[in-house]
Amino acid sequence: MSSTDTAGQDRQRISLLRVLGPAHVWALGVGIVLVGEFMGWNFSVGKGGALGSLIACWVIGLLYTCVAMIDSEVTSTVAAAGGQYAQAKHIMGPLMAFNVGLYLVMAYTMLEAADALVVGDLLTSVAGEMGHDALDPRPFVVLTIAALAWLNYRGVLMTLSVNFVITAAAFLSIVILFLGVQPWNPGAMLHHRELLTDLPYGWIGVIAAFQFGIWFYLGIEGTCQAAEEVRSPARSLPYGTMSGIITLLIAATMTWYVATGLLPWEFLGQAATPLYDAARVTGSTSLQVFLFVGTIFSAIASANGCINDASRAWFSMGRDRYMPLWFGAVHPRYRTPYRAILFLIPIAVSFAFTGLLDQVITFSILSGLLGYTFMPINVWMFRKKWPLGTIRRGYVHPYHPLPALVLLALCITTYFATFLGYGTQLLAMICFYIVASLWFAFHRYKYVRRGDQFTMPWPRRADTKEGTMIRNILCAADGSTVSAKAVDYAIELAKKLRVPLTVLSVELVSREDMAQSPFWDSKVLEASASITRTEFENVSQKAQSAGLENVSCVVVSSRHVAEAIAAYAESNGFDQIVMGSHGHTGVSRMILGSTAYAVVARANCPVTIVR
Amino acid sequence: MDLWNILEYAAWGLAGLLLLWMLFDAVQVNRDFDEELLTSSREGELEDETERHELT
Repeated sequence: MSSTDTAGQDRQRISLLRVLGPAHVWALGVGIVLVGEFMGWNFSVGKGGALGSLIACWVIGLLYTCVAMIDSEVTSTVAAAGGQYAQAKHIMGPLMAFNVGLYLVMAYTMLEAADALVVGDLLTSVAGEMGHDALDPRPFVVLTIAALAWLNYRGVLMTLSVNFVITAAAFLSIVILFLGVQPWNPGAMLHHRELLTDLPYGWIGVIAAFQFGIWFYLGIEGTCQAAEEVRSPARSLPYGTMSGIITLLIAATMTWYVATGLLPWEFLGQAATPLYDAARVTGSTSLQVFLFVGTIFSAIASANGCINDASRAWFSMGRDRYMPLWFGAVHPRYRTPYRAILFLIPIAVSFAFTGLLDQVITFSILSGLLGYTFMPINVWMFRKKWPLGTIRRGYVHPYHPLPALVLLALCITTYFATFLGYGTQLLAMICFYIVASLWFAFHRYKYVRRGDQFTMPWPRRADTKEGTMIRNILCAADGSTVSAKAVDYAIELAKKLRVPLTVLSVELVSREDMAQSPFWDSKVLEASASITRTEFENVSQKAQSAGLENVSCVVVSSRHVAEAIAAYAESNGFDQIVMGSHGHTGVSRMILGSTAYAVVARANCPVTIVR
Repeated sequence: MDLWNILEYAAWGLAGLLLLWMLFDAVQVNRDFDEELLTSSREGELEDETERHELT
């Protein structure tokens, strides 16, 4: 070892904050979608009758299960903000990436506008029931969008924690309604025997119902947008997405069962708020209150998640110069894409001010559908370019290419269903994307820096041709005696295998945060830096005396030490983690916990514990 | 003017305040920080790598 280079200090960078876990991913996906159970899905009853709606619910459920499986595999490998946009960029090329990015922004911004409209309409109807006939919904629409944009602007952790609470409350209101109508006692409150009819418009009606069956699940694919903000993409994204689609399948089935057992299909097919109406039919005031709160919460959670997702997609496109770089800025304190959030506010408000709920939601659905059509082609190319076993994946979806073929077939069927009801809008939307593609190809693409857009470390190859699985080692150090033993072991191992060694130290509070704290004391900061410096000097001396070259010392900041170690290893493609354990056992381990144990549980590579 | 009218004005006012707060903050950030730093995020990069020493 002959020199020490502090390269990291002169290239200061700010990124989105990695603070989210699987529960936040669940809240993002289910939060966006759950509003569809409270309204919208029931138009499928109008098209195909109650049984036709159930078929649509399950068939479209199959479509979205394919979406969730395919997305989980690709996103756990291509883990970057922008979700499917980033996938398309890496797998298919710039023109497809631009289109997919635009589908995402349009789908989520329009859905956000529709959600805000729903909040305004609900308050208008409440005011009407209380004797105030001409309530202007616009201030409440603008307030909904502004308040949620403010929340998103201030930080992703609070935004999605709020979404978790209100989404869980909305889901709980559906469960309470389901239990409240005594499903174990058919005929008491539910009258399926009398209310369920044959298919009123035959099988063509069932096909037409597919378009509205999408409402049950529209937006679950939005979980991918959190890829750069989750602590462990390979673990959190598949867990959050798959648990989200399971939640939605349960919610959709309960919703259908309750609503069709309480309301005749002719009424249900036109109702504005079917679950709330179902609660009213029960005659229970408490169920009505639960469902009213559930409806409002679901609309707010949906708009909140949409702002999160649309801004990440727009931000990613700006960062890669598919849109002006100005949009690719990150707020230095809140670590959010603040310019993208601000820019999309007037667009969402203007969509909402049209007041055309069905038109806005139709355009949103069509943009989503275009995105789903891209997915089977995307995963086909992904598996072809990187067959199983060549790179590491957080999740591998089963029976490939069956899910891709099923998804493609169902997308084509749903286009036909949409054409039956909204042919003009479908053609207008396709024309819009063709014009946008021409603009990108002939004008915008010249600004894209082609090399700079692929900075993400691509997952390492998993072959074993060189006779060893270990190509680089990460050693976590915290200045303790056991940590020093771990460093010794890691140096020996790295020397023996002739592989690079990185020693990682995790700061619990970042220096930026510390400097902004009112209780900031430079002595605390200096003491912390001094411990790290001493640790690194020790590593440096030991490596030098062992004759080991190619050693890096890295400091990262995170409130979750184990998550940070596992995420660093995952993001940078390490094959082996070495760390010390203080050896707490029994009660002391229960109370104090074990960082080493947590790293073993989270890491996607072997972990060696030194004691 | 009943309660709902008051709520309408309050909603306009609160929405305006939140929007102005965000605009004010964004302008302040744009003024106080270098544009290169604000747009320095890279795809898939791990945040908060505050130090890196290469020992060669």
